Amino acid sequence: MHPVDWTIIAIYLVWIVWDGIRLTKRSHELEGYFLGGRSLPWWAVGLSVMATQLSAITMIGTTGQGYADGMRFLQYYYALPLAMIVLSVTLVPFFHTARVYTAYEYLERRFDVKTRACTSLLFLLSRSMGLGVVISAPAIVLSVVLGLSVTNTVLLTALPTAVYTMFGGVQAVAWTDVKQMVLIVFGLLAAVVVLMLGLPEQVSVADALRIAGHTGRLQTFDFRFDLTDQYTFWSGTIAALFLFCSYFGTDQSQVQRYLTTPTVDEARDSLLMSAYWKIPLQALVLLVGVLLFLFYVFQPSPMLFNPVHERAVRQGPRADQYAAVERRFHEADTARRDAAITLATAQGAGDPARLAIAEQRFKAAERTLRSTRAEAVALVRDTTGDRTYNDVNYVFPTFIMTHMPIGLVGLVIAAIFAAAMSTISGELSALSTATIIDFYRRFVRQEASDRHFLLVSRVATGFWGIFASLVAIWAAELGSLIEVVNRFGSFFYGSILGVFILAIAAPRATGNGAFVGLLAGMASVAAVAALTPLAFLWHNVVGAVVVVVVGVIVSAVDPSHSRKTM
Amino acid sequence: MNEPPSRMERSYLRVLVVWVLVLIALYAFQQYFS
Repeated sequence: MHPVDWTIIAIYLVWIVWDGIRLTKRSHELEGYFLGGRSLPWWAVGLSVMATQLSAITMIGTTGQGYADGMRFLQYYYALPLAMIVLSVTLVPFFHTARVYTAYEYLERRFDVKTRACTSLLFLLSRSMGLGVVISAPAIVLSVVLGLSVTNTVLLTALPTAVYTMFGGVQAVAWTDVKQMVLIVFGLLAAVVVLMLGLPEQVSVADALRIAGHTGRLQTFDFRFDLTDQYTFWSGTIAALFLFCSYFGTDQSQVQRYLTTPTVDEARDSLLMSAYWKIPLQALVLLVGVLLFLFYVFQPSPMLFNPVHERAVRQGPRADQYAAVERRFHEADTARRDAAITLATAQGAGDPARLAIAEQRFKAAERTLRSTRAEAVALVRDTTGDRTYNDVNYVFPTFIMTHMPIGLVGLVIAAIFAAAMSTISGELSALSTATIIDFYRRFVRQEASDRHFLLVSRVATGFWGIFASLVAIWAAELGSLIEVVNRFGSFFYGSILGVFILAIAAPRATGNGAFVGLLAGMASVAAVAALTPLAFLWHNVVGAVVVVVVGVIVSAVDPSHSRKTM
Repeated sequence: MNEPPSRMERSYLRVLVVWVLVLIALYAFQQYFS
């Protein structure tokens, strides 16, 4: 990478830490540190909520998904605006008027301490492990493309973030998120422009998009009702509604953010910003992936995008076989390029017969190319022993490093760092808040000065930063187990949502009912995950429904009837 | 006489309208380029 790009990345990292730390002066009491004195403007909170959700995995993994599979994944977000309306009407006013620090604090007021402690503990467990993966996944990719060790890229991402989050609290998180969000959107738009400029002169953007359409990559609606596929319209509108209600309504990393606004309506407005912008933003990310596919249709494409694995095969015992596959791949790549140009020309000619022949030829060339690449992937798997080898996460970084102009490379890599840091900071702040408010101040020391609580809060933020970094370095060694860790949280989401549904919609629900319901919900999700092929998005529905049904039944026969009301 | 909708109710309605329009636009995009 050119020194100019390294300089841009270094300036970004130093500037973001300085910018975060200078907000320390506004964080001298606990409410200022954790809730920004409940004074942040709705638009900044809205951008911060979106920045937390848009991680580096989105920048790298989702663009890769767009490259390989197209825009199907967009359906996953279709329910998000509905979830925001549901939450604005239901949970947001409860949290705001209760003046709580954490979502789980509300559960003690409504039910009992064990329900609060259990849900908060589940959050700490799932989020801290998940945060390790959030740091690890981009760190692995960045280590390959920047030529650094994974430990170094983990530290480069997590350390500055932990520093400004420790000192600046949620204000630093929110205001740096705003700036990081601007950088992320700029990075994506810059990539779109460079990708479009990379198309051949005789092929317009519309012609190119039609070619992507022929491969099915522009499919944004799949109306099949298939419970084993999470990328269908029905999974995205029904099952994902439960996921988003749970994530934005009960996950401390999100709830904490909209508790920082002065009024309930401003909290609602901050959530509705995601309702407007999340689907278009996600469409933009996936479109970058589709444009990457088109770029590599018209420009020579690498056979494999992960240079480390490629080198391992080239230097391994099956190097000759790999070279033969590579020769065939380059022939197939040239054939696909010719077929694509023929198809683009035929699209403008208005001759249906010619268009049909060109389309068939392009599809055949695409199939040949894919099967040749599959042979190369199989060779990598055999040689390296990595049975889950998949290099789609390397497609966008490879393009940035090899085809973007000097200066933009640094800016877009800085945007990937920004995406990672905006997620990490929000999670660190939320982990620290839950640790101090739900456990330390509740069970260890209820009365102390703000200065004391601030000190332990900063220690907790630092602790979670170190813990997540260690998990990230460990996760880098796990390979396919990363997926397991990543899905760990999805086992709890629906069940925790069920507890909150009981809290606000079932006036007769008791603490025992909610607690037993929560255990039953998690057990049901574990059983469904182990015994059925149900897509994991639907686990959220199973968890929430089981908690509500079991919670209502147990509450009805609960002799304590220790109902509290808010 | 019915109360006029509140500011938030109007916001929710706006979100729903924009949501439907975005889905229609995406469907049109899919159909046009496929």
